[in-house]
Amino acid sequence: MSGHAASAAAAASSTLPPLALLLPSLGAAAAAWAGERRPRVRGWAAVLSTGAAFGVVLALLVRVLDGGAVSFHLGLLDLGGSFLLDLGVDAVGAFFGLFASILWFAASFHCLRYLEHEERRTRFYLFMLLTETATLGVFFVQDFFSLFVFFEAMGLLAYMLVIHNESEKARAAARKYLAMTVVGGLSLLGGIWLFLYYSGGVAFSPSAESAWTTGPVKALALVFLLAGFGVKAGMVPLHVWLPDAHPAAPSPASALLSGVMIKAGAYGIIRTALTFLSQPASHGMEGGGHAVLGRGALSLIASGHGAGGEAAAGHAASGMTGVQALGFAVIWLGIATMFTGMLLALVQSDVKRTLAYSSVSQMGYILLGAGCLSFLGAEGSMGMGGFLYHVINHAFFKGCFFLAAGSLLFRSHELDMYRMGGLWRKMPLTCLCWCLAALGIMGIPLLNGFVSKTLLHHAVVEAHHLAGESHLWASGWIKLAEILFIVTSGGTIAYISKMTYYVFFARPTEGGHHQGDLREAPAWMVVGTSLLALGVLFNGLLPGVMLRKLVTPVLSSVPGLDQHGVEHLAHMAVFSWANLKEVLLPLLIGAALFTLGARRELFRLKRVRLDLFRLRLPSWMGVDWWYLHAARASLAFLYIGRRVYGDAEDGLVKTARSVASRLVRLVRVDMKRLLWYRPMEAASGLCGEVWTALRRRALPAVREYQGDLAMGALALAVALTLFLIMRLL
Amino acid sequence: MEKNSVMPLVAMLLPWLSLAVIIAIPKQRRALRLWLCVLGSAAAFAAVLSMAGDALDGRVLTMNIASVVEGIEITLRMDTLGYYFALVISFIWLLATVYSVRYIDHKENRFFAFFALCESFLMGCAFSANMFTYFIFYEMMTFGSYPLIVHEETAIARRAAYKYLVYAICAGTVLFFAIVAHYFWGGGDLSFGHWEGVMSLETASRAALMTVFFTYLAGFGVKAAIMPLHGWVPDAHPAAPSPASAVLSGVILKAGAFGIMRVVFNVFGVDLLRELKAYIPFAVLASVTIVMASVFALTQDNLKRRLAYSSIGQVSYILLGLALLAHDGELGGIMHLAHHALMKGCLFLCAGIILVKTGKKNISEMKGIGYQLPLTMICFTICALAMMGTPPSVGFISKWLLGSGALQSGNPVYLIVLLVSALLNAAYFLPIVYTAFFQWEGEEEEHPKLQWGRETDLEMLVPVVVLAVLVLVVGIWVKVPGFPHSFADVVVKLIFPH
Repeated sequence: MSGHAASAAAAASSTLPPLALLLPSLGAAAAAWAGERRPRVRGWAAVLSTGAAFGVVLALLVRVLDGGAVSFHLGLLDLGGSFLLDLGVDAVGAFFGLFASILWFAASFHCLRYLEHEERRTRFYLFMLLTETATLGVFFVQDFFSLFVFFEAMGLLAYMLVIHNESEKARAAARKYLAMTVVGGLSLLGGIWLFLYYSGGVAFSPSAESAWTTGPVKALALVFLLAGFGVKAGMVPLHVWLPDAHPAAPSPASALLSGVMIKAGAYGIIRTALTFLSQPASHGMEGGGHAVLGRGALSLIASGHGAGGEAAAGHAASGMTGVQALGFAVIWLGIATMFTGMLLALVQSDVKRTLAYSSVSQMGYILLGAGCLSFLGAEGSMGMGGFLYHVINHAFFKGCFFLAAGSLLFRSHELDMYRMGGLWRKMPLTCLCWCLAALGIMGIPLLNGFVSKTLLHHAVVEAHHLAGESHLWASGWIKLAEILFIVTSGGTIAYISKMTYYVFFARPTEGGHHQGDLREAPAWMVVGTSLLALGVLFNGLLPGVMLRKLVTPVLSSVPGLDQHGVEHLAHMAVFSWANLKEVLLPLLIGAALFTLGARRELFRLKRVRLDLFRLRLPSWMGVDWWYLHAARASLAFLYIGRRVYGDAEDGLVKTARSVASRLVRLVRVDMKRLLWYRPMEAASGLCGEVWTALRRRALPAVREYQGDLAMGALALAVALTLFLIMRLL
Repeated sequence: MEKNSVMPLVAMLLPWLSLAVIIAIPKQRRALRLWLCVLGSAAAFAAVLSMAGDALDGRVLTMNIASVVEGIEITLRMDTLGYYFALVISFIWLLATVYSVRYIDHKENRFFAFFALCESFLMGCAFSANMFTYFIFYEMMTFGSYPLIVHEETAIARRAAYKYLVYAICAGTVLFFAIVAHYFWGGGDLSFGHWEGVMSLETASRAALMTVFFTYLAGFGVKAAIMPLHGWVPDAHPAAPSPASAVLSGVILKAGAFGIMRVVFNVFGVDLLRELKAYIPFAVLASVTIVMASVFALTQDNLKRRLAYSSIGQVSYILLGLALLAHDGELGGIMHLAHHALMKGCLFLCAGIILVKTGKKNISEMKGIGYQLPLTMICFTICALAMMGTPPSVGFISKWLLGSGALQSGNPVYLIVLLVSALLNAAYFLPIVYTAFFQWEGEEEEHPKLQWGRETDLEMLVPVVVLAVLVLVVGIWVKVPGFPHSFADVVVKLIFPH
């Protein structure tokens, strides 16, 4: 808890975060200014600015690990209250910023030569560097409002990287990417709004006073946030854009998309989990439920307070707390993601597409770490450690893969692995980097993947123990998750060996690429690739250094994690026999799958023609088929609604018009006749009659008796006058 | 805090300078004449600016012009809300007038004269002290804008303008009855000076109050294009010349919304509406309009028609904000008035440049215009993204505040409306941008080059760029004094004093 208090109180001001954001943008401006006229200036502007940003982020990380979180008051988008765009960096953010800036640095080296066979290079540089600013921004904020701003900017700027080729394929991929980005962004916004609704603020570490409640709104907020971040993270079933977009982009951009951008999604998910974990513990204490679980106070979140001690205790004993439910959901989303990604990677023939599915699969591992963290609560340092370690590992090996794939494409103009082969003689250095990355992703000891996968495996096992101890129904499901974890690791070994085998070591196929002019990739491209391969090697050879210097310091800054667990992680014996023997089972599974696919002749069963490596599934089995049809159906509904509305409006207008015209006719013709002509006719007829009668009968009589009449009238007038006078007086 | 001042009248009358110029200066000296017209609207803008300090401090300037009978007066009164509207009017008008100098190529006299008149009447609306004055200027503005819509004198333009007139006159009649009822049941007080409203359940029955409110809504709803009353909007916008569409959508539609603001704030008051529960049908109407207008916009191929439907939806954002009766909702609604004027003004002016330079009206014909008109289309893209509510832009500010207002009012249901509308906005704005930049006529291989620097005349380009830059700047530095937030904040503090 002291960590929490410290991080909330500290946050010294520092100009490093804005500087890190500004540098790539300056590079973008310089690159745009240099343009096609000074291509060397343009390329080196990118290298220098990303390199400088890397330096600044490194300094920032050191500073943050030493002295706690830093912040910088930008004061933009100030809407009053807590809605304000400010920068703030804690250890987790700085950690993500670090590998992001390394990857951008490496990619910009690669760009120096790779872009030679791309068009519109200036545009590419411009958007690549602007995307770095936005991405670093995502990691360098301390509330959901600011995060949303940078997240949206990142998503939209990266659109220009996906569509860069403007080939038919790239357009289709970009269309899908944009649709998913927009929907994901809105889902995220909805989630943030709902989060705001029940917590009263948007900060990652809500204040103790904020009203935390449980209920459907909270669950809904979680679902929206998870979906919003999950789209970017390539979480199944929201991953559909990823296998199209990553291959469509130019290779350095693919490396960035796969290495960093999807991690922004994972970052969002871990932030969500940490936010829910960092909830004021005092409520849980008052609720009195933590004793039942026998774990840290923080693992009982959602139901811990408000309902009173007994209810909370009963609830905690019988089921999962809110955060545990989140963790369980994320664990299974992670398992689904890694398994689906692995299966689909196994059947691809395009190198970059395989890598993209592999990214989906590896994101599953990362999500698994996040899930274990929230399932384990305060004891989740193993999950969080695995998460962080795998994030940086995946950035290294997947970045390395994509840059190497770029080199292959640059020289051989080919990405179909079945049309390549024997390239290790022609491109030995690229092959070496590739193999390091391959061994890393497989989880072979002494390379980086082994360490993080070991940590993640430990985390799943711990989650299983916890579930068993507290008699949760989830226990069996987590055991199943562990089994699938091992199977997926086996599958990963199979598809990576398949790709490596066909690209570098298989016999060159007839009619493939021109073998003659193939040679090693240009020096700068190799520099970029090997920079990342070195990272793979370093993280694998010296896991202790990484764990003690980087991962555990980050963990110990996370409020609410049990410090004993963190200590345990720091001094963990990674290369123990117990850990090493875990690799054997995946290796066996991988070897079996590889043999099944690559040596089909060994398994020629009667009438069963399973070609594992070239399996094609019908389109309706893919999620995107369902999305497309759901979108079309809902659009059809809208159109029907519109049609009905339009018809109704038409009908209304027509009816109104006819009623009006009838009214007008009534007024003009009928009413006039009735009220004016007829009375006038009658009146004039009457007048005529009266006049005739008078003329015929009365006038002669009047003439005859005019004297008497005059006298009578006079008498009448006098009488009337007298009467009036009498009356008035 | 109230003082007498002629400044509102001066600001209102300065556009008449343009009228004098048109009469005084001979026809041969076209450039001089038109630029002097611009000067007239610049002077009006300057006059409005000179009152900024008063408005920001919440001071009120009044001037009585004539008293018809006891309680019914023609009075000008500048309060912060009115000032804010006047600022939007005079700013958009200035840019549109500059733009018109090149755009309008026949019957300039008539166009510029009525353009200036409309501005003057709208300023009158903004500076009205009571509903009676507002009604007079509102009706004058209706008739003054007729020649702007009919300007092209094609059959389509005539029909659209006729439709506009029929709608507007019917609305005027309804409005008149609303004012009579307001006078009758509101104790004879038509003035806008009360921020807690003049109506109360003590002076009139519930049914009477509801009748007055919804009669007002129907009367102003025609200009504000609430959904069953919107019929004239999609016809009038494409028919009018682009600067006229820009002000039509940017400002004239807002005159209706501004009237509703006055009704909500000064006639009824927020508390009474909450008590009457009148805000529920009001919010539902606004929500339906927001969603349905976007659905209608999806399939329009005529660019200005699509923009017109978008305007219908966007004006209802303002109304939804008002209907939420919560702090952030009112703030967002008031701010969206200016925000939408900036965005939609820019979009219509862009559509005008496209029409003049390429002769294209339909989106399906606009392949590759992004390369022909790079700066225009970049501005268009900025505004289109802003309309979707992408940060950092004014659109995002409005959307966030409305969402936050929906939460404050305890109705998260309206979040769905906002999110669906943003999605639909993306669905009809992004294809335009895509067509402009990622499709082109001719060979697939021959990627067009951006043709910087010779796309169109500066007179047309500068207003577009200014608006697009403001869309970003106002969206980033929200709280700068003089930007919408500073005024809206003063007004909201009057509405919610606690």
